[in-house]
Amino acid sequence: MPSFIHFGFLAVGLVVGLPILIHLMFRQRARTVSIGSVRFLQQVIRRHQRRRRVRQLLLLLLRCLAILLLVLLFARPYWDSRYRDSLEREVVVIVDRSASMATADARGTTSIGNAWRAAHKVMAGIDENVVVHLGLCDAAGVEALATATVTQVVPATSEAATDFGLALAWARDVLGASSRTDQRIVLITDLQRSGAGKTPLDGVSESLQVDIVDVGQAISQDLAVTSVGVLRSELRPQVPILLSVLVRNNGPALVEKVDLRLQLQGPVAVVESQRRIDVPAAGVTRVEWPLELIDEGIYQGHMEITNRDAAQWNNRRYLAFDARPPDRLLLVDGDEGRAVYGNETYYLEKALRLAPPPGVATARSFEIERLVWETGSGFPRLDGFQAIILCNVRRLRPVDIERLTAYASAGGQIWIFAGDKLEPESLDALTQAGLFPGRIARRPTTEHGRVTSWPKEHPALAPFADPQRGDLRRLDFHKTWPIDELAANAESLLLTGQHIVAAQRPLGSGRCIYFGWTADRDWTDWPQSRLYVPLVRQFAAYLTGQLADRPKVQQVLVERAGQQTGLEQQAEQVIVTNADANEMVSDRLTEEQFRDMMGLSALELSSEEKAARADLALPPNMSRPDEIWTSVLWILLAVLAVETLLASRVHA
Amino acid sequence: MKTAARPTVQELVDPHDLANVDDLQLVARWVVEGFMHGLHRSPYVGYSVDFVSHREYVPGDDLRHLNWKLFGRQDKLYVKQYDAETNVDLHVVLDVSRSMTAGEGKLGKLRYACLLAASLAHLAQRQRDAVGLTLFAGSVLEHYEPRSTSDHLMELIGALARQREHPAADSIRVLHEMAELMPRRGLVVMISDFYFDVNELFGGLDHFRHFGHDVLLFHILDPLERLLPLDGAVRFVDAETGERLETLAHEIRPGFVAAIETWLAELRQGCLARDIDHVSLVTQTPLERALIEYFATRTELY
Repeated sequence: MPSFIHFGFLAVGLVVGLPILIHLMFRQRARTVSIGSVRFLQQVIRRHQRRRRVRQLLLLLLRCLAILLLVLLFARPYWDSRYRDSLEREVVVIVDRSASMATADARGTTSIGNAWRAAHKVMAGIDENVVVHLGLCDAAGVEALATATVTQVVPATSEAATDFGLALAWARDVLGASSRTDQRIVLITDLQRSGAGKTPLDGVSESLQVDIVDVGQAISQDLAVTSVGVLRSELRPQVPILLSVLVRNNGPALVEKVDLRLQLQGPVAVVESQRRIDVPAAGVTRVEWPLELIDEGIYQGHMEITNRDAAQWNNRRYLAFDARPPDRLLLVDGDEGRAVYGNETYYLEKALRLAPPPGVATARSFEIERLVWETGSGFPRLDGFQAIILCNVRRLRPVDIERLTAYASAGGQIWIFAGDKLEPESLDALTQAGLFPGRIARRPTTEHGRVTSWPKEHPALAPFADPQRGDLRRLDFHKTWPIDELAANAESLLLTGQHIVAAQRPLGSGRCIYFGWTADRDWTDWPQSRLYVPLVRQFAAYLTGQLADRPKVQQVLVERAGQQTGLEQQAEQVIVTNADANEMVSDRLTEEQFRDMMGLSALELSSEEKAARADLALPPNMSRPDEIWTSVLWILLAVLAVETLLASRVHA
Repeated sequence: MKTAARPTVQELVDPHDLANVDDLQLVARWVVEGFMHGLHRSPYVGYSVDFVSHREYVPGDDLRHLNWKLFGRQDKLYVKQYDAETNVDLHVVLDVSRSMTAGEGKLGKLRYACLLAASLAHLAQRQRDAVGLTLFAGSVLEHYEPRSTSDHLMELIGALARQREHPAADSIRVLHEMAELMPRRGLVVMISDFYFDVNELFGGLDHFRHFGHDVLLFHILDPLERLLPLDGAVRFVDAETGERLETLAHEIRPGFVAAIETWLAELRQGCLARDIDHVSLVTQTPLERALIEYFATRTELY
């Protein structure tokens, strides 16, 4: 139905009387002529009279119409026919509220603001008989809103990423439950590329009209911290903690003097650091950020860009890490041997001293100390060691046993390897003390053995559940010293047929693990096996707590509705929540690309509807696409042309 | 009633006009031996009261017949030739109704008609024909019996020049009355715009023909009435009835001219059937040319 932008101008329509007045006031005066007889004139005029009157009337009507059209022109009429009255129509309006919609233009107008206004325009043009649904979408899903909320304050963006599949699937399900035949989805978004292809969209009918309203904004400068990682988190003397920062420039030009600021709350004090970098156009700059830290504990904070740009939401990224010195292990060598590689702990030490690959911050290295038992004076102070590994130690004195028991009760970890020098009586004492996992056999067996079974869910052995990662059944021994009887609270770890060749037993916070073979190659060639290093390091990590169920720091992305970025303490764990880095990549799709990626049919729009869609993305107070003033203008010109033509032939 | 501009006596006896007419011979159609007038020719050129034409002077011609006026104009000597002719009564019937007062320009219909009437009277008088004059509107206003004296001519011219009322004439039945006033056969020259009922007109003319008159109609129209050379809005006023009519002249011009032509054709057809000459004139046509053209045509016929 037609409506008007400036109703007041219609009052000027009274001017339509002007032509009538002009007609009356300025009628052309006829000259008077005397003629002998008018009878011949009468004959002719009689034939022309009616046509002349019609012309005069038509002329008057044309002039009145011209005035009326001029008034309409100033009143700016529009034909609001985008969504016609229909009892069979149902519309779902979805507004993208993902993090990227917080991007603002130079005037501070955000994409979400434009989207909300567009939604308002769309819904204002919908007849009351049409069923309308309204929703806000992001990667967490769609939040349905009452349609009346479109007139309220612009909603805040979430910090979640974009997922168009979720949004359209929700709309599909809503419309699928409806019996109305004329269904349309209106998706108002910035067409962030990262949002397409995440969740597959199935079951969308080709007849379903999906209208895309692009409210994305062209931005001149957008810097984002897309990643902050910890490359090295072990506290070592003269070796700094190392962070890795990725800064992305989404703009088309090089940005110089980008100020990065790091702020961390450590276990003792706040750590702050700043740097200035340049970031190339549409590129990424990687910064390695060393930190001289000495205090052990959790460090948590954020890295941010202090420069102002169009998208402030992606200028900060949170991080947390556990800075701690490497785990100290005490290797007790019971048989020094003649050569270096002949000692009992040679292979073990080599395996444990291997450094973790760079960038794997969670993997920790071991600080190894070796004690030759026979030449030593007993155990040193044990409280600084995370684990003590006894390799073929002949005998343990009662005092040693007491110290080991105290050590284990306090949480220490003990790992015992068998050997020729091992005295079972020593182990009995440990068994009685509740430490050793059982009663060892009186003597080792030379029966050839091969690992036949092991607990698949044990943290140290879980990776070997998949034989592709290493088949433990390939471990074979030509001599082992099995456990005849497990202690009450002990559990077997490795079996060779009927023999328990490895077991463990907890004591307090600590535990004791027994391997019934040598750490070196005396009883088995297992150091030559490719399983040796991973098995040794798995058990070392297990003993030092690296395989704990709950790491002290957990990294998550915003995935739930209402979830916000930041740092949160939950029991003994720090939860670091950041936005999806893909959302920070300002790569937008065209509508055609979007439809192609989402498998949507092309929307056939009339020229009026196309103009209407373009107008939805425009700021307010600009022209409406459904204005018909151009049509009115053409009609007015046509009327004036006809009037001019007719006026020359009609006596006014 | 509008009183049109009257030709002055001097205009009526303008020698220039009359001199041009002198070359024309007033010829009656009917042979004297048949009905007392018509076209009469003398088998020889002699001393007659009328000259017929000129010929170039050759040595030996009588110098009394030299036309000195012509010499003065053309610087050549011509002698007059004369035909003996039977006297004819010329009845000039002039319509002086209100419609004849319409027309614009220096020479209106009435003036033109009066000039024509005077020319004919003069020509007739020169031929020693008796000339009568009847002025009519809806009725006979003035009637002068035909006489051939110069005094009578002056009386006629005076009557033509006299200011008078111009009553409306809605009927031409007065022709019957006029016919009764002219029992003796002669040449009746009717000068009018003939805005009459055609049947009534021809009825009246038949009355004249019944009495054996040779009838000649000079149909005088103003250029406005013939071609309607106007544009734009015009308010036409019927001179007879005072009726007003407003229209766009350029719009109706084609139809109007066609209607006039149809009317003239109808009159010509009617006159042709009655052996009556119909000469259509507009007031812009030089009077002498009109007479020359008519008499030249009449001479060819007879």
